[in-house]
Amino acid sequence: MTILRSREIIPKSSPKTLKSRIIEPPTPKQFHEDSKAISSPSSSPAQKPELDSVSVSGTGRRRSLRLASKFKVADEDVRKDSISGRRRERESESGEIGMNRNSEKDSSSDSDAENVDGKIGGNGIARVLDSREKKARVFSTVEERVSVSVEADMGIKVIEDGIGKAIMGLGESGLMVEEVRGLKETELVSIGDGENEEVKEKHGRNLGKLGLSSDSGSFRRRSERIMTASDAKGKRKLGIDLNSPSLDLEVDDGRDKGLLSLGSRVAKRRMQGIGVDSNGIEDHGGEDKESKGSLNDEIGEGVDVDKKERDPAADESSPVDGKRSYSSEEKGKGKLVKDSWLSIGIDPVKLDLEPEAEDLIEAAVSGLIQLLETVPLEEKKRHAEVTARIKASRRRQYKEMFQDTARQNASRFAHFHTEEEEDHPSSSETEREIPSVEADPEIEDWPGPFSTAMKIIKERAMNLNVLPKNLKSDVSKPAPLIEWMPSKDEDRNRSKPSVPSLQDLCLNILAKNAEAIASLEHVPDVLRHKLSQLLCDSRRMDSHFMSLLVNGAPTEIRINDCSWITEEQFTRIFKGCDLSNLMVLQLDLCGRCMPDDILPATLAHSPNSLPALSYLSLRGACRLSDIGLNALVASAPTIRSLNLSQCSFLTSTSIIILADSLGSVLRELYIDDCQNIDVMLILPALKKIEHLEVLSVTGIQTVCDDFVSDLITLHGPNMKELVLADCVIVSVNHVPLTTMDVFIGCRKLTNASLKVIAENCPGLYVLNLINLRKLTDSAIRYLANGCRKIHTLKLCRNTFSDEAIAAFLEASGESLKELSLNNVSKVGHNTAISLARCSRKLLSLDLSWCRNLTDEALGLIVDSCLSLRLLKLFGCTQQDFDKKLDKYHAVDRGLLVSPG
Amino acid sequence: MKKEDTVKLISEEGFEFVIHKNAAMVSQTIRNMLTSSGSFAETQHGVVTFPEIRTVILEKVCQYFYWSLQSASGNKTEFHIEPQLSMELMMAANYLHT
Repeated sequence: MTILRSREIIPKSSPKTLKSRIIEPPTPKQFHEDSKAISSPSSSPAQKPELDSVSVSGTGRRRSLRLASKFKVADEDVRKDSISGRRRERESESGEIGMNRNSEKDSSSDSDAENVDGKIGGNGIARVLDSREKKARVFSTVEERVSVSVEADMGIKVIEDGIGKAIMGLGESGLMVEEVRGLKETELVSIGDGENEEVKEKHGRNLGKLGLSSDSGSFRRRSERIMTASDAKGKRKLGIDLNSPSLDLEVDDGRDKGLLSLGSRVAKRRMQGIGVDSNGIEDHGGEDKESKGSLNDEIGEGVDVDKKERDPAADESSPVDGKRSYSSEEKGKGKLVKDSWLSIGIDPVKLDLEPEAEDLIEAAVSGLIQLLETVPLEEKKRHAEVTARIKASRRRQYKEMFQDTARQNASRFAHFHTEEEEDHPSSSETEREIPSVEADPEIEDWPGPFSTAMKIIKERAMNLNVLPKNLKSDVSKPAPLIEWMPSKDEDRNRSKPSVPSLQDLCLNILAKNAEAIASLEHVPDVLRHKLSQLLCDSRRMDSHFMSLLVNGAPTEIRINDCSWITEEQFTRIFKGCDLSNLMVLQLDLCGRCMPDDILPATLAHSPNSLPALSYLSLRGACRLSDIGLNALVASAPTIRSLNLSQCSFLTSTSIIILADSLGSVLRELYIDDCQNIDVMLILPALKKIEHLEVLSVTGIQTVCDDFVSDLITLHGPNMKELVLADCVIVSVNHVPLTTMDVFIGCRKLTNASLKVIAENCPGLYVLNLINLRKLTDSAIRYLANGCRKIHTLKLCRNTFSDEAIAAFLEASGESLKELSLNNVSKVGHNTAISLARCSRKLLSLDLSWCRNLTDEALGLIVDSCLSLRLLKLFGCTQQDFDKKLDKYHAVDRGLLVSPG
Repeated sequence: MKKEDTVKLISEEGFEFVIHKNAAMVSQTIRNMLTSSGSFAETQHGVVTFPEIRTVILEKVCQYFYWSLQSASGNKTEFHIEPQLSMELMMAANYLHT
C-alpha cells in the first residue's frame, strides 16, 4: 500500500500497547509501527486491530514514521463514539471498537457482542469485527485520549461508524481521539468520496486531525491538525478536545507504536472490516468499502495528504477488499497500520503500502494516542493489503472504536486470535467473550432451550466446518455444508395450480369499469371494501365511486387512499350524507382534504353526528390539529378504535381531551409518528382510558422506559398490543398478556429490554426487532427462552449471528408463521438447516439481502418448509435460483418468490 | 350423466340446471350443503335452490364451475364475463363462496 499520509504518530508513552512493530509507512500516512506496539497489547483479537487511536507518542520513533498518529488516537475515540452513533452495521461490528471506554460505549459494544473480541480497555486494541466474519473489534485505547487509530482497518471502520464517537467517548483524554475520529472520518470520507457521510463526519474530523498531527510535535498540534483535517470533511463531529492536555501526548511511543501497528492492522482490518461492513451493509454498497479502503490508505498519512489520497483509496477499496483486508489483517500486523490508515481514506492505490502501513500509521498518528492492543504486526501486515481497500470509512471507525475499546480492555487482551474472523465458531466464542467482557452480565449462559439449541448448532457447525477456510470466500462454508439437489420428482407437486375465484374475477372487472357502476346497494361491506381497495391501488378511485360508497346509509366507508380528494370534493361528498349508521370510517392519507375547518361542515356538524362510529382512522391527516380532533371526538362519542397516525399537528393536549371524553370506551389508540406528542405528558391521560388494549406509539421519541413501565403496570392485563417501534423503549414490565404484539424498532434498544419482554410476555406472538442494531445474540437467547409462541418475528438489519438464529429456530421456532431475516447478513447454512428442520408452519419468509445463503441452502429451505407461501429474496445475488426454482417445483406449490 | 353424479341447481325463476357433482363442488357453499352430515333435503335429493340468484347469473356460475375444473387440470383459458353481469355475479360468487 502506498498510501502514505504524512501523519506522524506522536509516540506516547503507552507502555502496554507498544508492541512496536514499526511499520515503515510507504506513504506519509503510514501508521507508525509504534502503534502496533501499542496496539498489540491492546488488541487481543488481532484480526483487525483497528486502533482508532494510536497513541502517538512524541518519540522520535514515531516521528520517523510518516504516518501521523493523530489519526489513530482519534480513531479510538472516534470509534467509540462513532460506534454508538453511526453506521449501524459498523456499530455492530465495531461496537467494541474503542467503545469500551465508556460505559455507553459498552452498550454499543454489547450490541456487537460477538464481535467484540474483547474490548480492550484503555489500551486495548479496538478490534473491529467484521460484521460478516466476526468482526474484529477494535479497541482503542480510549483512555489515552486521542490516539490516532493507526489501525487503519479498524479505525477506518470505526470511523465510518462514527469514530468520532469513539473518540469522543474517550472523554477525558479523548478529545483528541475524537478529533482523531473526526480526522479519520474526514479521511474516510474523502477517501470514500463522502460515502460514509455520517460516519465520516464523525471520523473524518478526527481523522483529519489525526492526519494533521502528523508531526510528532505537540499533542496539541496533533489535535489541531486533526481538527483541521476533520474540518475538511465538514460535518463530522469532532469530538476532539484540543485542549485536553493529555491528548496525544499521552500517547506514548509505545502506544503510538502499538497504535500504529494497530493502526495498520486496523487499517487492514478495517479494510476487511470495512469490506465486510460494506458487505454487510448492503445498503451502503461498496462505497463504504471503498471509502474505507481509502481511509485505510490514508491512515498512515496525515490528514492533508489523506484527503488527497482518500479519494483514490476509496475507489480501490472494494467490498472484497474489505474482506480480504480483514483476513490479511488478521495475518499481517504490519498491514494493520496501513490499513487503518487506509481506511482513513487513503486511496486504494496506496493500499499496497502495507508494509509501510504500519509505519505510516504510526507516523500518521501523530499525537493521537492510539491504544492498540497487542495487535501483532504480522497481522497488520496481512491486513495491510486488505485494509487498504476498506480503509476509507472503516479505518476511521475502527480507529475510534479501537482506541476506545483498546483503552478499556487492554489488559484483557493479552493476545488476540488471528483466525477469529474466519472461524465462525471461534468468532462466536469471541463474541461471547465480549459480552461478558463488556459488562453485560445478562449474557450468562443459563440452561434453557436456547443454550441447548446453541450447543446443537455449534456441534453441527463444528462438524461441518471442516473445510479449509477460505478467507476470501464467503460462501465456502455453506456450499459444501448443505448438499441438496433439486428433486426431479414430479410428485413433489404439492398443490394444484390455483384457479382464480369467480369473485376475484368479477371484482377485477368491476374495478376496471368502476365508472359504470350505478349503485353499490346491497353489496356487502366486504366487497365494497375490496373494491375500494382495488381502485385505490390502481389510483382509479374518484369522487364518483366515493359518493357511491357514501350513498344510502352505509355502515362502513373505507378508503385507503384519500390523497386525491380535494377539500371541495370532500365537502360535496360528505355534505348531507347520512352517517347515522356509520360504524367504520377509514379515510387514510386525507391530509390534503382535511383541514380543521372542514370538519364542522361535514363529519362533525353536530355533537353526536356520528352516533354509531366505533372505528375511525384518519391516518396521515397532517392538517388536523387539536381543534379539529376535538370537534370530531365530540361528535363521535363511542369511538373504540382511533387511528391518528402521522397526524403530526396533534399535541398532547388533544390526547388529554380525548381521554376525557372517550376514557370509558376507547380501546385502541394509534398515535404513530405524532412527534408533537410527548408521551410522558399524556401518560396520565392514557391511564384514564380504562380499557386500553392497543397502543401504538411508533416513532415517538419521547417514549421511554418509565412510560412503558407505568403504562404496563396499569394496563398490563388488558394490553393486547403495544407498538413501540422506533422508540427508546427498553423494557416492558409485567405484561401478562396472552396475545401481545410488541414492536420495537428503536435503535437504542438493547438486550436488557428484550430480556424484560421475554420474561414478562410468554405469550408474545409478534415481535418486531427491525433496525435494532444493538441487540446481540443474547437477545435472541432471551427470546428463545421466553417467547416460545412467537409466530411472527421480524428482524431487519440486526446483527445476530447465524448460530443464534438457528438456535432460536430450533428452540422456539415451531410456531413461526412469518419470519423476516431481511438484511440479517450473517444468516447462513445453520439457519437454513434449522429452517428446514423446524419450520413446518412457516408461511412467509423474507431472506432479502442474506447473501451468505447458497442456492442449495435456499433450495433446502424451499423444499422443506412445506407451508411456505411467500419467499422474498431481494438483494440475494444467488444466481440462477429462479431456474432452479422451477426444478424445485416451488412454483407449483403456489410459492411466490420475489423478486422474479 | 348418471343421476348419482349430478346435482340440480334451481334459480330464482325456477330454471333447473343439472350439472356434475364435481363441478358443483367447486362452490364451497354447495359442497357443504351436499356433504353435510345432517339429513338435509339437499343432501338427499341432490337439489339446491337459489331463490336470490337469477337464471342468467346461475348459468354463468355453472359455466364458471366447468371452466374452473378445466383450468385445474391444465387447460387454461380465459373466462369471459359480461361487465353488466359482473356486479350480480360477484355477489352470487360471494354467496356461493366460489
